Amino acid sequence: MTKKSNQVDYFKMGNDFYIAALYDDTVLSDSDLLKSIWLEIKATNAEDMKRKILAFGVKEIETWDKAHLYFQAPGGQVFRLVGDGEDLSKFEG
Amino acid sequence: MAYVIFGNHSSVIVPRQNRDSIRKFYCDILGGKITKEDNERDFLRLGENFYIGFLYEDVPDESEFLRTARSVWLEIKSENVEEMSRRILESGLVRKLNVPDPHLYFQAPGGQCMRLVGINEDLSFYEGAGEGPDVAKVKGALRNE
Repeated sequence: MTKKSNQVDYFKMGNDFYIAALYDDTVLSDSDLLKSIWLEIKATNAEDMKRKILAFGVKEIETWDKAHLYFQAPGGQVFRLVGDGEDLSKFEG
Repeated sequence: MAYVIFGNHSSVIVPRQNRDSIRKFYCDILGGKITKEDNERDFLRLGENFYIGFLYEDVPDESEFLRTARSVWLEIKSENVEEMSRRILESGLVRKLNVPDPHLYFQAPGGQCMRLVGINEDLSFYEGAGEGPDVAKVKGALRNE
């Protein structure tokens, strides 16, 4: 976390990717939160990271792609977890 | 040391009727390339290595929800911000968002909201340096969208 306040936290992921999380009191349904673009995260040890993520208690999302973990992080963003160095050309056409 | 980094593949389900405008905007205006297409989806590459999978379905238009910033907004970079801003706005394909910030914020066909910045611009303002954006003003502006 590079900065925090009551209204916004700034997170740095890896060397150069930043997310600003703006906090609000309104609540959305899980189905609302599935409508957004889904992003991808990479881990050097995807199996170990998968165990950590599931142990944390996220909501796992069922998809056609059984080879990867899809989950909804706190705040609602949906991610796919892949391995760093994995062949991901099937997602590139 | 980072445990994870962000990947370069994303996907989103969008209304089937938006396909033409999505293709025009992401390819003709932003310079993306469709790397594969079939009846149900387009694989689109932006820049050297960022991919978006557009999955077309008979789903409702969620543009209003996506404008609320309750879904993640993305940032795109251009070497020539002025020229790209003009192209984006003149395309007639986007909705300009009135965010109190010097950059262009807009909603692209399909609903994704984006901020346009310069490739070599100092963006530490968005990384926790200094005051950062005025969150109350930003939220107020979004409520009016």
